[in-house]
Amino acid sequence: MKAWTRSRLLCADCRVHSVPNVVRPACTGRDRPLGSISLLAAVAAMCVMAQRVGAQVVTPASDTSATSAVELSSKSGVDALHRRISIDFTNVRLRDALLEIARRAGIGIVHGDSVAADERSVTVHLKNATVNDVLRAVLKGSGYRPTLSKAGMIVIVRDSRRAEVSTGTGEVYGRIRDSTTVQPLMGAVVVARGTTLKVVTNDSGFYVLSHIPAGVNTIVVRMLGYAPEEREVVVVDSQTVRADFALRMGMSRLPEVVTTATGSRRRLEVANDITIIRVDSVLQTAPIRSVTDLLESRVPGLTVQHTSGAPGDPSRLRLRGASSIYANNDPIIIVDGVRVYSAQSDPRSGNLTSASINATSPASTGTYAAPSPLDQIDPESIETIEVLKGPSAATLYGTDAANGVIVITTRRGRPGPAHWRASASRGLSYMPGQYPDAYLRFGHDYTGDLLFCTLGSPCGVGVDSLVRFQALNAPDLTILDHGNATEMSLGVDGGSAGLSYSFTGTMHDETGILKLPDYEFTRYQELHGATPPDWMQNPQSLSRWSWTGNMLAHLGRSADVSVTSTLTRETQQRSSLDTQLSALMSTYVDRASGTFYQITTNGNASGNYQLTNVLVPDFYRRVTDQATNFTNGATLNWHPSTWLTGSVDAGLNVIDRKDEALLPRDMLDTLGSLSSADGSSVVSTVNLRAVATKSLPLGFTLQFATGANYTKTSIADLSTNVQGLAAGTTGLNGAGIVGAPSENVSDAANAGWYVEPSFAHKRYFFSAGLRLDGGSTYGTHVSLPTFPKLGGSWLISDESWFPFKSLFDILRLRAAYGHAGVQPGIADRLRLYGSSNAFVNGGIAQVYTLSQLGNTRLRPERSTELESGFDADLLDDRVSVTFSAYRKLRKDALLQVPVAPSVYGNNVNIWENIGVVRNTGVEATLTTQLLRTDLLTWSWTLGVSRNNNLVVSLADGVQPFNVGIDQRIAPGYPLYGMWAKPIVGFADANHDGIIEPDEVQVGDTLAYMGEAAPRYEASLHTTFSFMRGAIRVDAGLDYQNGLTQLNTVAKNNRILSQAANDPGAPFSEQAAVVVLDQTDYGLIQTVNTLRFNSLSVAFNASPTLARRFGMSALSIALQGSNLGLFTNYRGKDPNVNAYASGNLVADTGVLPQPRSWQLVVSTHY
Amino acid sequence: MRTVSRRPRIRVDALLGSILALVLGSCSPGTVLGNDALPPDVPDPTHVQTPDGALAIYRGAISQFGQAFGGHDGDILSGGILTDELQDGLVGLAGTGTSGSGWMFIDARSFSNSDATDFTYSALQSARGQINQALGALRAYAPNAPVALQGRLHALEGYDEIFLADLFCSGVPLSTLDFNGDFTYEPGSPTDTIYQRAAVQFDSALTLATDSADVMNLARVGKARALLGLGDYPAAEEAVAGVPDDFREAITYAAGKELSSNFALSAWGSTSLPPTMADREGGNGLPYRSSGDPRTPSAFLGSNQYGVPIYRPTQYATDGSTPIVLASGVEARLTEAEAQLHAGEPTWLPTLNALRTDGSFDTQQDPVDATKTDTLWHAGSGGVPGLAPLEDPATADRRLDVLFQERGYWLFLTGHRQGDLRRLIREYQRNSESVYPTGAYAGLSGLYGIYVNAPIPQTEQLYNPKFHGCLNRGA
Repeated sequence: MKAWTRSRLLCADCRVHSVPNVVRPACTGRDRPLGSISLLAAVAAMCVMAQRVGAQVVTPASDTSATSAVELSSKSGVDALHRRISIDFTNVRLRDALLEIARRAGIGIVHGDSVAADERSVTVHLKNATVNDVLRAVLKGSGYRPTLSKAGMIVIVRDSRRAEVSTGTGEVYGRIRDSTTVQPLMGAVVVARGTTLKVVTNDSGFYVLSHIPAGVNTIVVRMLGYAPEEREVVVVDSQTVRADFALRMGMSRLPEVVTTATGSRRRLEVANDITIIRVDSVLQTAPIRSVTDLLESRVPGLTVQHTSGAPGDPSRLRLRGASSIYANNDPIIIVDGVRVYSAQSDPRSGNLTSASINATSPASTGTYAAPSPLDQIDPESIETIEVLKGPSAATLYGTDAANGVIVITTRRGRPGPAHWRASASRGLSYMPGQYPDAYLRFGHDYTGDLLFCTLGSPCGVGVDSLVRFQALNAPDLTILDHGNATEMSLGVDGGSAGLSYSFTGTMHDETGILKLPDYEFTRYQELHGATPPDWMQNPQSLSRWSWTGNMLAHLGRSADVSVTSTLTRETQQRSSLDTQLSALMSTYVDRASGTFYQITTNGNASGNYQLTNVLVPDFYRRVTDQATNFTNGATLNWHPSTWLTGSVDAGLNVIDRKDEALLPRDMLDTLGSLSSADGSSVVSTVNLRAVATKSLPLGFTLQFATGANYTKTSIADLSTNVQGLAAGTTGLNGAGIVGAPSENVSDAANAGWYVEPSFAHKRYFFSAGLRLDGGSTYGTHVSLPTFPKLGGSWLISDESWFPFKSLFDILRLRAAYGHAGVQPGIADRLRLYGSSNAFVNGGIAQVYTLSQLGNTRLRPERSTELESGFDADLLDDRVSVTFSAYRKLRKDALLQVPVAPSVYGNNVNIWENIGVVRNTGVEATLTTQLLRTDLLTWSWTLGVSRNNNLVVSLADGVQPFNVGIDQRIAPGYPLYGMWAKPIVGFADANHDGIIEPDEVQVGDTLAYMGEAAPRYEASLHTTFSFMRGAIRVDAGLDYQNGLTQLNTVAKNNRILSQAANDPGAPFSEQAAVVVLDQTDYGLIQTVNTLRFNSLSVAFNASPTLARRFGMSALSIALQGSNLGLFTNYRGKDPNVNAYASGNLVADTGVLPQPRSWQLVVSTHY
Repeated sequence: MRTVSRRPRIRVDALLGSILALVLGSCSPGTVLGNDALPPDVPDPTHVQTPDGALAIYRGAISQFGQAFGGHDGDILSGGILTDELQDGLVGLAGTGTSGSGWMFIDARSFSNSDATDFTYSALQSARGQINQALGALRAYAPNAPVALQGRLHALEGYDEIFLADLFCSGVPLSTLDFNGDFTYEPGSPTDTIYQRAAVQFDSALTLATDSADVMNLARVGKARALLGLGDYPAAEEAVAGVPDDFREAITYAAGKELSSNFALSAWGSTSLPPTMADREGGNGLPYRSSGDPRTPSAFLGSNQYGVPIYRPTQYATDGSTPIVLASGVEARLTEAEAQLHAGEPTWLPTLNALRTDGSFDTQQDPVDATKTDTLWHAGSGGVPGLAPLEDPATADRRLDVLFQERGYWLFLTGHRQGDLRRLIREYQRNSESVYPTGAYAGLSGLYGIYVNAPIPQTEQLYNPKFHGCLNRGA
């Protein structure tokens, strides 16, 4: 048997002195470089234990040095309490029993003199029991219990439940640093467990917790993105104890705090997978220009569909598939508790003037898009974004939340001196790669006149030439150029313990990549005697400035109030030059003669050409969208006791828009026209909630939350147009013909209340919820169904019997179930007649014509979701895995169904409860830190998701139907799936070397071709950090598989395709083209895409270097986006495929995503 | 030693009471959710539930029918282009920059799928639906309104169905839209069935409109037209027996785009895409212009880049305001002449000649616009300058040619020609290639196609589960 010794440890002594709002420890000279921190912490831990217990260390070694003891304890590992031993004690003295346990387990045990002096004898017989169970059995009735220190030692402490009440209070202070970079961490939350005492670290990373009850206290430090740390410290009355922490970048997400409808919760207690994005860390590692950029590829289950690559153009967001087939599938947005307008894909998302991007262009996407409200939120002003993906997580947010919730928390101030941050970036963008060639086949007739002919059309006397061209690739013809972007941001955080603040101001200015070709510039000069205005030369621009302020005031010890205010002003400008992408795709320039051939088609298999001196026919229309977005919210939190909290949110979001579409006078031989629209959306929010917590027997805790909320959304848009502008004006005054105004007004409110009881045990967390909603659309009240929810999670790795403790640090299983619903608009049930004037029987009279069929049988749609999964931290927190599987079922799904024209002509729709739609899928996130050394850390996060969308059944009487030419709703297939009559065969029967329409066999019935949304998505973000973060390289890759869409560009330019003109084109391609008037089959493609989406190389100056410039931090980063695209898609960019509104997808040939690079300089003061 | 100060005692009961009150209050969302009103841009449905509202719906039906008949996308334009009355303005004008019209494919009879006739189809079906709403509204909310209004609606629905049968392939679905009720999809109906159904509509009109001679005559002419479509010549002759020579029912239109102007505004009032007056189109066409017939007046527009003169018909003013005759005594006489010819009665020629010699064209200037001249024929004023009496060509085929030529001139651009040409194929066994324009078609660098009617729009097949395409693309 080895000799066992006891050693006494001496503790370092620190002093503290304070100045107002600033805590400056006097023992900074003892700060240690990296590598000593953990040792220091371990020593400190033993130090405080020694203070607590009298500092007896029991080890199985003869080495009496403190260092040796710590090393030994480290070797013992963190699971020392769970080692298994057998004992057979009969009337053994307590201290001897502890010695024997330490020996058998090969661990160190620290206890105090009082334990050593305890003369009691114990009798315990256990076989293959954990050390924890053995110690508890041995210590039973002694008033002591075993605990595990962070240093890995077992410490016998007094059982606080039985301990005598300590008297007095003391202080705990310390400094929190990043374990890798040694940089102080500002904003870390430090709490004394079991108390309401909570502080955050200041800009130097220091904290002070005052009024800590004397005795053993557990200090817990949390910071988003870092693994939490906790430590027991002994507080002595009127004394100060130091406890420093070095936080490691955490792979684990479980300790994070998430925002739920009922308040903040530890993620561990929430049964859903909620994605949290810590914006600061993303801004440093990727080119971010909008909130959509922040979300894209960082939220498994979120599909982002782009409308175009123009500056400010919006994207469509879909969480876990098209969860609703209702027109609005957009998740709702909440900023600091305040709902903001979030309908990103309804008709209002386009320019309010309804300015058509080009009524006749094959690239038509309806109206010009306008920036989304989500992207009007300044990324620099955001602290975190949390994404709740489905009804099971969003039940308590109410009926509107059925499509998910995006919860945005703006920056918060920290106590301390003003901490300034500034950043500036300058970037450029351009279109990568080449556009596919077009083909033209020329012949001539017997008179010698030129003919244009395809393989299937007569070419006069004979074929003269086959030319390949692409004006978009020709530098002197193209409208593609370089764009640029400039952004500057300035912010300040600070405050005192009573009042903290954070302000951020950002200015963003961006110019798109379109330019007017020199040829047209000159032609304009000749025609108009002046140079074209700037907006004609560089029509795409986005200008935005925003201001965000947040102030938090503590109203005594038990209440605080925070006020958030954001103001954004944004102007987006486009012009009809946008539409000339498609025009140029079909423009052939005969360099020899300088002749332009503009080939036009009307969607049929034939086309025509126009000899012209016009390269770009239309760049004269300017379309602008100006939005002012104002959000003001206040939150009052009240913590009257440790068991009860209450809070109130109230807020208002107002978006005022002024849109215009201008054709100046004398352009295109007209007197000019102007469409002008003013619109506003006002969203009012009031939330009330109260949470009570009570400890129950057997270690359970009951938390009961209840609350109510009220949201009202009012829309008021008015547009008009005039023709014949007064000379010298671009406004409405003096216009010749004033068109009829158009008005869009709506007013809808929702109110609901909920209850949510939750039970928590150390390892078990269970919550239920019930929400009742009422809805009102212009006062016509409807009662919505009751929405229940249920969820639970189980920290299975904490079970004593869990067999894989050496592998898993944490393993949590979870499951959640919830309901949500969508109520049809009240007017959807009504048959409505519109009033207008018409010429009837020789005079003008008021007439009523049917404007809406209505459907009185509409029911609310109801959605249920079951989500289950697990979260695991493995291999000493080097690997973190989150996995979720979900099944989301939408019953009585509402859809605006097109009505065949035999009922009441074209463009008639009716709302129907069309049936049952199901989304099932899995999402997984794997985060690892493969290397963690001083020289290099390498980590990566892989997100993977798969969604299987299915129309389970259609309601009685509802037959399968199309919602677009090739998109169809049919049971057994995905929503909006792509369908076409198949090409079942083709052969060159007459052996003329070309495929003609009658040589292609087209099936009679539609065949399913694929989903209109990606089935699989994956994203990989990897980070290399060199020299403690001095140089950091981040890269992001996105992968999509299973998106099926029509290449509308190829369809509309079919007569310019190789297949239509070149006999050498493969027969399969010829067959696809020659039957396009019967089926789009040959141009519908299922796409796989791998995109090298982002790269950032950043240099982070050391604190010493930064201080030389008067800064506390300095970084310079070169960031690029859309750096590579690897795809089987035959078009230009498969991921720019969404219309400004609605749910349909197609590659319509609008501007693809450009490639961009930017240089970013960020500083802190 | 420090003392821990005690916090004020919290009124937990008050707090819980407040929460309870809040929860209970929220149970009645009506207390917080606003007042009862419809959005200002949503017309109150109760406003139509009055006699005035019903009459406004009735006027809406008249207006929609007028647009479907002679409006911008109406039957006259589509039928005129498909037949030999009009030709697409692009003919021979390649390279002028006026491309983009779907009319070219209609004109060339080469449309096999959806095309510009979709709009005509939509307008005609929309008018049907509106007529049924108006019938329901008059019955429900305007019981004291003249019953003849309902009779007129039935007559217009009959015409509407004739236009569908004339222009589109066999298999037009006539889905129903109940008044304030649901709609029911119907499968495609054969052309004959549609004519029969139209005849029933006219019978309903005749039953309801006994106190309105105009409506009665409108229904009689319409019924005869339906019966001609069915090949029932005696019944057709019988139907129009009581229609006076000077009967004329015209749909009125307004000048300009703001109101319900006729197709002439879009056709010739625009700077682009002007369909022009055809002349011997595709070999089989009538020489509407070159004949100099006063019933088909025209004006020289200019020459295209190859020097080919372009003409426009001047029958209708280019501002779209000229009324278009829907039914007339002339048509009644033409019907009688056809029935007589079919029956082998020699009276057919005197009947036709009576129209040519016993009537006159109104050459009076339009009282509003002095540049306009109404060239419509009026009965009984004693002869028409320029129209000599017809001579009997002696052969059955030539007689038929003369009869349909007369119909072509008398009924030029009134929506009859397409039905007539199909009847020549269907009832008189003419070959489509001897009836419709054929041969080379310059505008498409190809030939005229084979189609004699328009396809049903693709959207019908996509959304109507009972419709599976045309039953027959023949006549």
